[in-house]
Amino acid sequence: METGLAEPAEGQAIDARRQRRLARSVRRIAGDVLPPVIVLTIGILFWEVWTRWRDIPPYLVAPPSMVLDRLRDEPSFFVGEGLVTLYEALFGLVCGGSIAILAAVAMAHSRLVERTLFPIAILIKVTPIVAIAPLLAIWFGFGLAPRVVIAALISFFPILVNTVTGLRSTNPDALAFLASIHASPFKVFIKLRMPSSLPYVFAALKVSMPLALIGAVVAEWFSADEGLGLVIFASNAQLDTPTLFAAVTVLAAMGVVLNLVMSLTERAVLFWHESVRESR
Amino acid sequence: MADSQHITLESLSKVYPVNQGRDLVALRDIDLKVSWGEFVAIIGPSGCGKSTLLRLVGGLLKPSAGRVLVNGREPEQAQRGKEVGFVFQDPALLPWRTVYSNVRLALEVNRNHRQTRDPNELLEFVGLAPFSGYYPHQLSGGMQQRVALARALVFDPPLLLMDEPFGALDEITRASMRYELLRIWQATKKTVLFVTHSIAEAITLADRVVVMSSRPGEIRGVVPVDLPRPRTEAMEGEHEFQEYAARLREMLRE
Ligand SMILES: Nc1ncnc2c1ncn2[C@@H]1O[C@H](COP(=O)(O)OP(=O)(O)O)[C@@H](O)[C@H]1O
Ligand SMILES: [Mg+2]
Repeated sequence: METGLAEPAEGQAIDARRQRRLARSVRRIAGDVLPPVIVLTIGILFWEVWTRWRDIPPYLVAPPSMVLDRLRDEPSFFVGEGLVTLYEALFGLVCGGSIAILAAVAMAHSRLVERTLFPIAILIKVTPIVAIAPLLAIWFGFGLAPRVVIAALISFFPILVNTVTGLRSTNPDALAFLASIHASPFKVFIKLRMPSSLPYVFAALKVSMPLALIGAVVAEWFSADEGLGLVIFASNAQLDTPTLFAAVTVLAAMGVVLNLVMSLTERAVLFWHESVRESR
Repeated sequence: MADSQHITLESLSKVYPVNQGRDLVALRDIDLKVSWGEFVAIIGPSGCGKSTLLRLVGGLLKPSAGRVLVNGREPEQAQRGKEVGFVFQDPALLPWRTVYSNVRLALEVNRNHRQTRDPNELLEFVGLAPFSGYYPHQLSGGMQQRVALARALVFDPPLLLMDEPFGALDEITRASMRYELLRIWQATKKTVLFVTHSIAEAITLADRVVVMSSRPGEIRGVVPVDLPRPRTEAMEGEHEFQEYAARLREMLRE
């Protein structure tokens, strides 16, 4: 523990331990990352070989090399359209998430509010958002608004339900302790309920984030003059399959990066939670 | 000290409403007086209302009938004055806070209380000073429980309510925690209400042992323990100790 007082021999032992730990994390990353990368590479190679060998017309299935060429031709185009979609999705996620969390706080606070709001939340959940997308285009015009609204609506429910559960799953003895020192409900919320609910909120964000991306893309089909959704829609109409595949690839890549960012944030914030500690 | 008794329970009853109007009588007609600085152990089968009794004294529950007085006033008043320290079987530390910051918690909740103790000093007191920067999950169960004890002492409350605090610990840790608690009690002279399942624990610790029976929860008897203090582990083998144990076992069996 007291590394400051370590003898030289002990210092070496610590060095060796640090090296072992480094080696272990390199091995772990290799173990986590390599298998899927290998499988994916094999799949892409197979796809390339198959489309060339069977002479599949590119408008049916574009070979990966052609998709890659398409991406290399106009990287700024794909990045630009991708950023539009990303912006809509994240903006929607933040709006939907904030409203969901506020509603969850109210619902966890009072059963009456819960009984009032929950049926409305269920209604939002069971309404196929994709089906009302055209309607929203009529209401909100062709600007950003309908796309952000759809991303927000679609990410709303998982965050609401999980946050309510999280706010209710507080250690009862910790609550009793705070009650025994006459803590105000506000302090109980800030010091105990809110942090206890964070693991649930993060789990919900991981579910809602890809949903928000899907929502943004679908919204763009109906009401946009920009974004990857529009690129997909337009290239599909023109049988420009390489562009379509390229757009989907960018979309998938964005999803992977977002997921990674979310996981790393979760690990940093929830360092104390079993779910994170066990995966160490 | 306004009242000659620290705690007074007068024909105290607690009824829980259960489904379909069938009520559960958790406690019936409890009469008990606890004087200042006394160590009282409460022992009884599970479900006999021991936790309910402690919660009533701590003001976490309202009596259905009868009354509870802490220092001659409503428990609510004692709670407001931060005169009660609670320790539960589950240490219930906040896992995102370090040991130090868990002990500090009470101070953050109530900044302008007059009589407070320095968290570092308390950690020193319970023998955990070197671990103040650790997180709860890095500590053993016994250490976590000592943090919970330090946390309960921040406002220097004259009354400690402990609900099976060592119940989840292994036998060896449990035995050493007993003497640790006695040392702390002897140093602070607080009144302690201590719920336990262990007969040996009750005899080692208490001035009096309250034996309860279940359904409905009632006091079956109160046994004063006249063993000399400070109590030591050696006493557990002595004839007198064994006699107390036999007597308590007998009372619990009836
Ligand atoms: N909040 C509650 N609602 C209904 N019944 C309860 C509640 N708390 C405790 N009880 C019941 O009251 C009885 C006494 O409980 P408790 O005080 O926890 O006993 P002990 O601590 O001695 O095990 C038990 O039968 C228990 O099921
Ligand atoms: Mg109990």
